[in-house]
Amino acid sequence: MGLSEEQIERYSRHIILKQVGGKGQEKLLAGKVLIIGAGGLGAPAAMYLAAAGVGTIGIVDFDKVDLTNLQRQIIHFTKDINQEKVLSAKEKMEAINPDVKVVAHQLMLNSTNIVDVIKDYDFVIDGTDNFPIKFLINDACVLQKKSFSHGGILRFEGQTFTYTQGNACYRCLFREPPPKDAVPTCSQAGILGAVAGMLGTVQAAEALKYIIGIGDLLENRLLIFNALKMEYRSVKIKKSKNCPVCSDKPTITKLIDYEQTACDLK
Amino acid sequence: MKILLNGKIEEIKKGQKLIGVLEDRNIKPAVVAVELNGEAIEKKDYDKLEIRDGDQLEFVYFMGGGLL
Ligand SMILES: [Zn+2]
Repeated sequence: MGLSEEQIERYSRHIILKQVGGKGQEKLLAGKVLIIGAGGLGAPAAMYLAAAGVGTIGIVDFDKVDLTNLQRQIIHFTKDINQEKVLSAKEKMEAINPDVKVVAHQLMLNSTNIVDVIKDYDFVIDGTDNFPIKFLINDACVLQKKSFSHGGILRFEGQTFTYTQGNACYRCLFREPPPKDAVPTCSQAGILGAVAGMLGTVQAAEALKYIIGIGDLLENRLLIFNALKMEYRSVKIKKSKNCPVCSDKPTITKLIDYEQTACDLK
Repeated sequence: MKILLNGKIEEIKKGQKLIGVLEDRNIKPAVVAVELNGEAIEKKDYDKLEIRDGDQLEFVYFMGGGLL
C-alpha cells in the first residue's frame, strides 16, 4: 500500500515507535474497528482511533445527543444537541482525520442484526451501558470468533478486559445479566466524566495493539480502577469449563435478547 | 482468620460461608461475580462454600456505563 508523504508526517510519532513503524501504521490504515455506543466510552475511543488512522471505523448508536451527555461524551459539542449521535461522531472523526472512513450504523443492536453488523470488522469495542446488550455483544463475538474489548464504568470506577478466541469471555466471570434494577446505570448513579475517558482510551489502546499485533492484551485479566483512590488492579479471570457460551459444551448456541429494564430505555 | 479480599487482607470469622462474607459487607449477591482462588463461583454455591484461612476472594462488580 505504502504511505504518502503527508501520512508519514501525520503519523510520524507512531512510525518512530519501533513496535509500530511504517508497517504498523499501514496495518492501522487497513484496520477495521467497530465501536458500539457513541457515549462516554465510545466518544474518546472514536477520537483516538480516528486520530491514529484506523482506516475504517464503524460506530453504532440509535440515540440523539442530549445536554446531559456533554459532561463526558467529548465527541459531541453543544451545537450537536438533538443531532443523531452517529452523525455527530462521524463529523468530528472525519474532521480529525480525512484518512478515516467512518461507517455510521444508526440502529439498536439485537439478536437478529448484530452478526451482520460486526462481521466485517477486525475488532469490536463495547461502549454500551446496559447488560442485555453487553451479554449480546459477548455472545455474538464468541460465536463469531471476533475479538472485543469490554468496558464498564460507574461513579468513579471502571473495568475492562479484552476477549480473543480461546481466552476468558464476559460470561466466564459474569454468568448472566444481573436482575432488573439490581445495578444502577450511570444516569441513575452518576459518573465522573474523566473516568469515562480513562476507560475509553484504554479500550482504544487495546484496539490499536490488536490491529498492529503488539504487546500483551488484557486477555484473561480484568483491569479495574477506582479514580477516587486512583488505584489500578488487574484481576486474573479464567476461561471457565462451565461457561455457558465459550466452553466445550455450551448451553448457549444462539443469541438471546434479554429484557431491557425501563431505565435503560429511558 | 485472614483472607485476601480484593487484594487487601481482611479478617473474617472462622467457618464462614461465602454468602456470610458478602452479607457482612452488605453486598447483594446479585451485583457481583465472585472468584475464589482464581475460580469463578456459581451463585448457587454461595451458601455452601466455606471460606478457609488464606483464601483469595475477589468480588467483581457489574458495571455498565458508557452509553447513556
Ligand atoms: Zn466464557
